[in-house]
Amino acid sequence: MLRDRQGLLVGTGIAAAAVLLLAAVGQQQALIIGLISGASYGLVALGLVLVYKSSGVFNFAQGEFGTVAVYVLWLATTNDVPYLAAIVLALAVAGTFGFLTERVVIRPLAASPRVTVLVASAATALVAVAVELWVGQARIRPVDPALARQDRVEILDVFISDQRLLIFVAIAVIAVALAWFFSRTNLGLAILAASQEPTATNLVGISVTRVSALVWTIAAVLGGVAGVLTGPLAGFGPGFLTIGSLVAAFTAAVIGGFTSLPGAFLGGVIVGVVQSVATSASIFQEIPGPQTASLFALLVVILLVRPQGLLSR
Amino acid sequence: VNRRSLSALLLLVLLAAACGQKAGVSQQAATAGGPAVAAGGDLGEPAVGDTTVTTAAGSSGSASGSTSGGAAGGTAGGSTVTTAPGASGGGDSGGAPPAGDRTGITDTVIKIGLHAPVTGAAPVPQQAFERGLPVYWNFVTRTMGGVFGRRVQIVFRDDQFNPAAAVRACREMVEQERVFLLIGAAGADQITACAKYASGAGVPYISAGVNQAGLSGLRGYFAGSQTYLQQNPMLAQLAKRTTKNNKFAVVIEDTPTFQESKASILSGARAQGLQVVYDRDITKNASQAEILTISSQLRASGADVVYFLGPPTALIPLAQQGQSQGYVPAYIGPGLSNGLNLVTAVGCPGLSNSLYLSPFPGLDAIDRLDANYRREYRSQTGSEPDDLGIALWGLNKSVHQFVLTAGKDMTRQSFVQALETGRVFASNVFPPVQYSARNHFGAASSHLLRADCSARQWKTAATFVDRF
Repeated sequence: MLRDRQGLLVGTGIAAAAVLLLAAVGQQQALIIGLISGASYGLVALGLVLVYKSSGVFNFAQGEFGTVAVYVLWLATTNDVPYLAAIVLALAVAGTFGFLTERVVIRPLAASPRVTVLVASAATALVAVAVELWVGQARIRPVDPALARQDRVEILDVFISDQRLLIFVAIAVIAVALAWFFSRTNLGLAILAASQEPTATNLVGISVTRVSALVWTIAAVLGGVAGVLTGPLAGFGPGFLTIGSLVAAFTAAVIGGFTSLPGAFLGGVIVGVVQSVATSASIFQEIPGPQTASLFALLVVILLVRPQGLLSR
Repeated sequence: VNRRSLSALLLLVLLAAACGQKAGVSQQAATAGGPAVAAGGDLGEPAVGDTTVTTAAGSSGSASGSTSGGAAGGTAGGSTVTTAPGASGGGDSGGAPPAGDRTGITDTVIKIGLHAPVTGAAPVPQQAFERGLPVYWNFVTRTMGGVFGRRVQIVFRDDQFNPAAAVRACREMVEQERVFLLIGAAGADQITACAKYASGAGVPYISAGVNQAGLSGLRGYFAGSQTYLQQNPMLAQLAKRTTKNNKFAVVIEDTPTFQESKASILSGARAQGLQVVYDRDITKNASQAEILTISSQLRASGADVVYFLGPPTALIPLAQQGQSQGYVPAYIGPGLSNGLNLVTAVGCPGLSNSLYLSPFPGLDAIDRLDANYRREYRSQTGSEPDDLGIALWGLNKSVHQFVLTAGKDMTRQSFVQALETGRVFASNVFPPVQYSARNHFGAASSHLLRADCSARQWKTAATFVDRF
């Protein structure tokens, strides 16, 4: 029992130690900022974990599922489509994009080495960025948030907007739903089985190809959720999630354990906290690019000390 | 011993051959009589890497009588390049072409290369850019018959807001497209990288003013508007006039190129008696956490005026996050890409109180300064004019004046010398400039833009200001 909970205990211990350390050095605000920004990274990381958990593929197109969704949201809202309908449309387009990616790119490469599939997913992202450049030009565009109030909560001198709170709610709901889905439903178990023993899964009558299509569609919808929730925070442009969040989300997924859905959220928060501390702490001021350097150092430490990630068994 | 000597000789011969003419080196036949001489491959400084060497006649025929062919010559890729003795250039009084490099100029065309960040961290709308780019030169061709009867052809490359990509683009324009001169539209790091390359290749390079570090001393480089160092004393004065609590903050992109500007604005602010309460570098592609942290710290510092020097992709989220934290200071700074309406279109209302200096005026002032722009833009493109078009119009108009001064038979060397004569170039769009051999940062004024967030545009608060 204790062994089963080892990852959770390690994660909780590290989180508690981090909170105490930040409080001791006067960086409490970094914790709040880390939570706020880390939730966005975690949202992208969830989709990465889902695809990896079910197919073992590092999906470099995950950010573009979200960017395409926010472009659809922008196009729809600027053409007077009601906001809720625009969000549904955006998620539907993102899901379709994920489904088509699986059918056109991933499935034909099913027998190829994983690295080939990885490169194919990166190529998909590049094509998507090119289309976004064609449709929306290389400019930053504003899109309205779902919830407009900026100063709903103030913690340690940091205002948290309703849109940020919505991201927290979304990530919590999605993480719980996916955890339940993978542990309690036949379809979830079928997905796990297909990733671990595809031949045996086929033999018991489960279509591995359909399972794969479903996983990519769900992952794309998750990416879409990340896009429509984070896009309005500071505007968006071609490849905004790939450029702005994908590396952080990959780091978050690795820190959390690439198969752990709660780990994706925890990893996102840790990445956000580290970036915030690297920005604000005076000891980092003389280092060029302290955010990236500190993130890299953290990643190296995690891979050396606990290569399976904090919440992975 | 004989075999060794023979081997050494062979090596020397191979070395000499390797150091001789390389790919991309051009030769242009002399078009006038007289003995052929080799002109300076660069603009008077030792050349690095590829060099264009032009063989031309050492003849005279200049209004100014200035000496062309490079001030002192130099060593290009190991080969010796000599100065054209007695050759003269500049002016447009006819006679035989002066000695020097006329790459990119034919009887009918002058080729000019231009790079800008259409994609990357300071994105510029590509369609708007492509629409605006040829408008000025089409106007010149139609109304004036071109430049000395030649059509100006602009070759454009996207530098992706990346110095390495910028150098690749400039190299391609020089070596493959064989342009006469290069123009950098925006992006300090890209302009600096390309200007250094251009200097090594002996190609004149003109840009809107950016940093001075890395650019001063480049013989062929000319700033078409005030540099950051020139704007900073004015910005410190502006901050003093704008602030209500005397608290001033500085946020600058963490590139070595901007360190001189950081030191300059900090000393300028202190000279004005401002209290510098916050001073932080920001990365080019700042993460959400970084932006949130800086905006929270700015708010906590209480600064009501923030000097920001960096790309729009950092200014826009900083303004937005600041606004989400209930903090809307007056952002001020030296403008170029930050003075474009695409920034206020997304950054408002977080930019509500902002003031930026700019080499070009806003749409609200251009009719007063140059009545041709709006009419030409509309008639040529069928679209409503934008401020990006003004920037391109102004920059090209300045270059047009430079080319006219250099004369019909200009060479790259005589072009540089013509600019250094001390003549004032006033386009009435970009600020007037006056260069000398020692000073290639010749502007003394800028336009002041004020954010109008109700219209989500920059409005022109003052034109050609040189102090506050």
